[in-house]
Amino acid sequence: MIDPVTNSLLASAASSASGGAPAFNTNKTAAPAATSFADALKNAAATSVSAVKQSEATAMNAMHGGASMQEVVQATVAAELAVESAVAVRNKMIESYQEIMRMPI
Amino acid sequence: MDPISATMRIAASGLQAQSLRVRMTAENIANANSLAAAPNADPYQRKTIVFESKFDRALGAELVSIKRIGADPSPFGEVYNPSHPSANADGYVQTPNVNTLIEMSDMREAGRSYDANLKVIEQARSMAASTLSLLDGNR
Repeated sequence: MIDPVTNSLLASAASSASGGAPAFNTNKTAAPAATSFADALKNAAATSVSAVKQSEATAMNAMHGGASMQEVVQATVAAELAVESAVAVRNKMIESYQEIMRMPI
Repeated sequence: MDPISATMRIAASGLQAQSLRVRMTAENIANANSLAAAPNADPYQRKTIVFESKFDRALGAELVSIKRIGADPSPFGEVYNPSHPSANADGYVQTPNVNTLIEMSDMREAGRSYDANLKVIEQARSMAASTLSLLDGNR
């Protein structure tokens, strides 16, 4: 059983996996979150890694004269967005974990 | 794809379209004095650029793309210069159909449109950043 707080975390992780703002959540992005938080986090990490790789490839291509300046900026901003959302969710998750660890038993 | 990333892709396509438009203007202005190479040859013909909207299936949005780069069919000018090697039997040389004033205003328009697309990217970026800022800090 998943409590509502965890559920909302899953949803935000799933939407960050699509490289976007956690507040915006559709049924489509929520579907993979139903598995587990670890999976959602793994998805988010994979998406950010691929976004960063894409941006690096575009930058390298631009050095050879293959990609335009606009393409480089767009790819870099997209990568930044993906990484930032993944990091934000991860930070929040660790914070909640520490909060629980500090709890007196 | 989430709307904010899509916005950036769309605006980036606008940036590319407008930068190509500025390039066309540069060609026209640079060749405003390129006369014909031979007595019966045409001088430089002004180039025009046509945009069209293109639906990107993966993105689910309309991007802007270049439909074609055409040639301006308006008539060439003529200048009386019998000493020019390309002058015809009457002593006239054909001049390009480029009006530098029109090219200048076209260039300005492309610049403004480019700025508008940049603003869209800026706005989308700040929206994403402020949404993400909800997650950090102890609030």
